Amino acid sequence: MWLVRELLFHRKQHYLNVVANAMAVFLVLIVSVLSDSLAHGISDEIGSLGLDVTMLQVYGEVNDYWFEDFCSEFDITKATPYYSFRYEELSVVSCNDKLYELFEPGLLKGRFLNETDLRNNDNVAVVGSEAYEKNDRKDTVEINGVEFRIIGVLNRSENNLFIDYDKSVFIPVGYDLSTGVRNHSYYYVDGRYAEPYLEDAFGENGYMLINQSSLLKTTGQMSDLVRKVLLFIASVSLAVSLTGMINSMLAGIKERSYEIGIKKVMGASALDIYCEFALESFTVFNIGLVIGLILVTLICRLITSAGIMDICVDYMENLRLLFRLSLAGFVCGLYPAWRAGRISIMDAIRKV
Amino acid sequence: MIKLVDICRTYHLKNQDVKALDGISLEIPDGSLTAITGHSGCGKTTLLNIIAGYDRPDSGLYLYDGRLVNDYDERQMTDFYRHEVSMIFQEFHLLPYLNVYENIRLPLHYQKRRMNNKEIDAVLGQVGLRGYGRFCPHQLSGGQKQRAALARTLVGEVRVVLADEPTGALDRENAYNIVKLLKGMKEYGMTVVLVTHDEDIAMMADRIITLENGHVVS
Ligand SMILES: Nc1ncnc2c1ncn2[C@@H]1O[C@H](COP(=O)(O)OP(=O)(O)O)[C@@H](O)[C@H]1O
Ligand SMILES: [Mg+2]
Repeated sequence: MWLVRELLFHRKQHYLNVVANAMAVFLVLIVSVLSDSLAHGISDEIGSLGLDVTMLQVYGEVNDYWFEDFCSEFDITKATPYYSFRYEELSVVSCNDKLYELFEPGLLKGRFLNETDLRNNDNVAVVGSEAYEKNDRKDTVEINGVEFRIIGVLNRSENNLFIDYDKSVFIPVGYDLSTGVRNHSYYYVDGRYAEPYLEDAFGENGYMLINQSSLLKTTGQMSDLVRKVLLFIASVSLAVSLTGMINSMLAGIKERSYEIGIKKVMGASALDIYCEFALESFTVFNIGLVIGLILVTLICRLITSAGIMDICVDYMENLRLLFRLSLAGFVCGLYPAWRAGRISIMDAIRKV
Repeated sequence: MIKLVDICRTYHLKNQDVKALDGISLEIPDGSLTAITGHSGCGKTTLLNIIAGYDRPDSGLYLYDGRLVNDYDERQMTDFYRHEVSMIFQEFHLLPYLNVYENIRLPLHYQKRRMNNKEIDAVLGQVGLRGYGRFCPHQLSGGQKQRAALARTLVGEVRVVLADEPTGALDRENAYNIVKLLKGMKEYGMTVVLVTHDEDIAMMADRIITLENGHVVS
């Protein structure tokens, strides 16, 4: 079509527009893609912690036996209370044998608390690696004047969302040696339907639940916010480039009024001219868009192959964004096109 | 038929008003070849612009086939350009980025008609440009450009052709050929109005209208 030739003829006018648009589109896309893969990365991390465990923290005093009832009521088999308080530099935790099953921290030596220990309330303890060092690798540990025999030492811990094993000493749940504040937490799995009950029991502000999905939700919200802010900034650059495009289209119309005049003499209506110009700026913008897209793809490939981060561009995901960008470009072309349509033959061909 | 009644057109410049047309009344019958002559600056181009509908008179009536062109709205004006009148310029006004074929297709495009290269070749043959279809304007001489412009007007199938000093930029031989082609257009049934200040060329017309300072003197 001859419109293509017209576009090529005026390409000089469009070079800068294409570059500016490509950069702006590039910015918008790269922000979108990067923040997407960052968000994915974070939630993957959280997911890989493998914690389908729910942490329940209860504020205020509770009966020590309610948790057993709670567990049997909701068929929860893997669960442990987690009453902790600070003693010197240690975190002393009263718990049961299920804690090990829940988090599987791994043992450096010895064993974890077992049912017999718990039944007899033996003076036995399992310590984290750092606590073991602090205790000068002795095989007993003294807490508030009570001496405990160390029966196991835990591995140095990997990331764990909830518990810092390393500084902890785990003792049978029957012991309450605290002199001050004791935290009442509970860990369990498969308690999905328990939430209404908890709200009834403790009131809306009497407890806190943390589990993987709620964590994912908050990090998701946060990365979404970051993404939005970044996108906003990138959109500003897009707006700048679009303004530039409008401006140069308007300037171009002055230069090309002669051609517009000829077309009008040949019977082009204002609408014809309007459409031609709208199409032209749409094309120019979309060339920029495609270039920006190619750039983004290349950069992402580069980042991935350099091993910095694993980015895969999800084009379908960004299709809506692309569509909106394209629409913005189109809308911005309308005003110059309208101005072009309004040029009269007299102004165009007859120069004084 | 074109009928002008007491047409006035004044250009308002910053410090003065230029009265380009001052009470022009004339009739141009269908199928005639009319020459308009006069000194430079006497208002010939201004008059032609008004007849073509590019410009509007300050006062006076312009009747085209009995309809008042003064009152045409934008759509009627576009139709007027498409089907009724067309202008041929001294400077040819071909689009520089289109070849001869495409330039000739321009009026067809806006009339939503089509013509293949063969049909256009036939028209190019009429104006003596056969084989130049793929040339771009900058590859053509002045006479050839004007002939391409004529071909463009021919395919537009308008009823009135206005030529504003079409020969002004051409040598005698080319000028003569162009005027012969314009005469041919008249034989074809078109109404031709030719602005020139060349006496010999004016003599080839059915009628000569002479302007002076915005008045018709003969
Ligand atoms: N666009 C314009 N603005 C102001 N004055 C003009 C314009 N066009 C023509 N004129 C003036 O109107 C008069 C008639 O011009 P024109 O019709 O072009 O004469 P011609 O074509 O016979 O040489 C001249 O004095 C010219 O200076
Ligand atoms: Mg003139």
